[in-house]
Amino acid sequence: MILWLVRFMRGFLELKLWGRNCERFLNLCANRGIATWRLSVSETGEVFASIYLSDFYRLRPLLRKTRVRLRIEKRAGLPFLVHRYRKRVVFAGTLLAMMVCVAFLSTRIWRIEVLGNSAIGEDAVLEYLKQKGITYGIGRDDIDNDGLELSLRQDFDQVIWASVYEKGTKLVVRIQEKLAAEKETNVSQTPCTDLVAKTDAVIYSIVTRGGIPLVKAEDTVKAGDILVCGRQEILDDNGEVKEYYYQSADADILGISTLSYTDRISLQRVVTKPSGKSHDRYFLRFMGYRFTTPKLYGDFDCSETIEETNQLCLPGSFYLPVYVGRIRETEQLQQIEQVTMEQAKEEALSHFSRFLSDLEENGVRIIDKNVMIEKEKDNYHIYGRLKVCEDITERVPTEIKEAPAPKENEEE
Amino acid sequence: MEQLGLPRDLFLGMPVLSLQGNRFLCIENHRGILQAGREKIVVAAKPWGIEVAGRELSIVRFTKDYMEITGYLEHISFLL
Repeated sequence: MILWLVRFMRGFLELKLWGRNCERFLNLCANRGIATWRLSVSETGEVFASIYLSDFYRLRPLLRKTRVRLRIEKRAGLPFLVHRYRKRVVFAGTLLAMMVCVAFLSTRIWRIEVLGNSAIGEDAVLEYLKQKGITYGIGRDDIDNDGLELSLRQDFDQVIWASVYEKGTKLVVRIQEKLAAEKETNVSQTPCTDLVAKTDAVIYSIVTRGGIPLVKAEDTVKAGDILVCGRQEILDDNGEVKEYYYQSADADILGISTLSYTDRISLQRVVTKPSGKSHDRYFLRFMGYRFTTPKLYGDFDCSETIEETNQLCLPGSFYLPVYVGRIRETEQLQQIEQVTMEQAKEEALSHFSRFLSDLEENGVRIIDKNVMIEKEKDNYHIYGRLKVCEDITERVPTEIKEAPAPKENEEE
Repeated sequence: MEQLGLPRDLFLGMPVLSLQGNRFLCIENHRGILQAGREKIVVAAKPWGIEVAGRELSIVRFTKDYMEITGYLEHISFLL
């Protein structure tokens, strides 16, 4: 590759030699330091060889001495290109300017990629990098990769490992997050709490770890009833309250409760369908400037616009701050459709399934469900009740009671 | 020379041949080309010439004391 580049820069000629002393001519060339390459002999005895352009004028005495004739078969290399395009100064200048521009841009970061994040959003990381002064256009040498890795680990509690490196003009921030974040509890803020029922329910099971349980399995409770009390009475010898001991109630209490479900589906719905007509416009964005091709068509009454943006990238992750894209506007036809009972059932079932899956994701176990659908004036009404088993506890501060004053001794 | 451990190619001017399979031959310390053809290349060397026979032979690089021959090499012999 380097040899090819040297030959290209110096310029070279492919020669055809013929005569009786071609070998002698080549030997004389070699002895005078004229490098030759790609020597081959044709079936008719002609010799083909390549030499540097600068050596061509040194051949004359050797040609005379050996009586070898030559013909230039091909000229190649930069000197010939310059000569060919000598009148196209603007083109050459533009080419040179482009090369300088690309060389300059290659020293900067034009794309930032965040990998491995799930809990922390990409925007949050980019914003953080911006605060650190790392944004698009920063010099590659200005980024302290080790320092940035350390600060990412320190400033984001979720991040347990970070790696920052450059790939071409792209900055890659690769992070590893904790598998499960510890749930924040407000127990420490309010040390004395009760567990109360957040809904009417029948207790299914109760496992108490702290506090005094006031209910047992199969008890019926109403919303707001205290289930586990964080206040414990300490009695004296007479069985009277001497003082109170406060702690945070802690228990797993499952209760069977009833949830009501209701949904409405309109008898009519607006359906949009593409008509098949679309208009394309193209844009070029560079350093905050955006050039869009003019709008040559009238507006659609109803349309959907999709914009696709691509960042210009040379091979080898060499991203440039140039974005090209297409804006496609597709005409949409709106139709009002009557919804049949079958369609409504299908849609209702879909909504209901989503509702159930949301409940199950929150740890609610479905015991029984009963849902009906009926047609009303303007819509279909879906309603029903679900019997579920769920955690019914809610944490509230414990009522603080004054400790009773000690009674005077009767004998006194 | 052997007892002194001196390289023969430097002190006696003997050619050094490097062969890669039957496709590439590199000759150092040569004294020029005696004959060049598609099927035979004869190279001058000290003390004997070297004859390379084969098919589609060509000299890809040729300088004062170094040359590379490519092609399908079939036979290499010394012209004693």
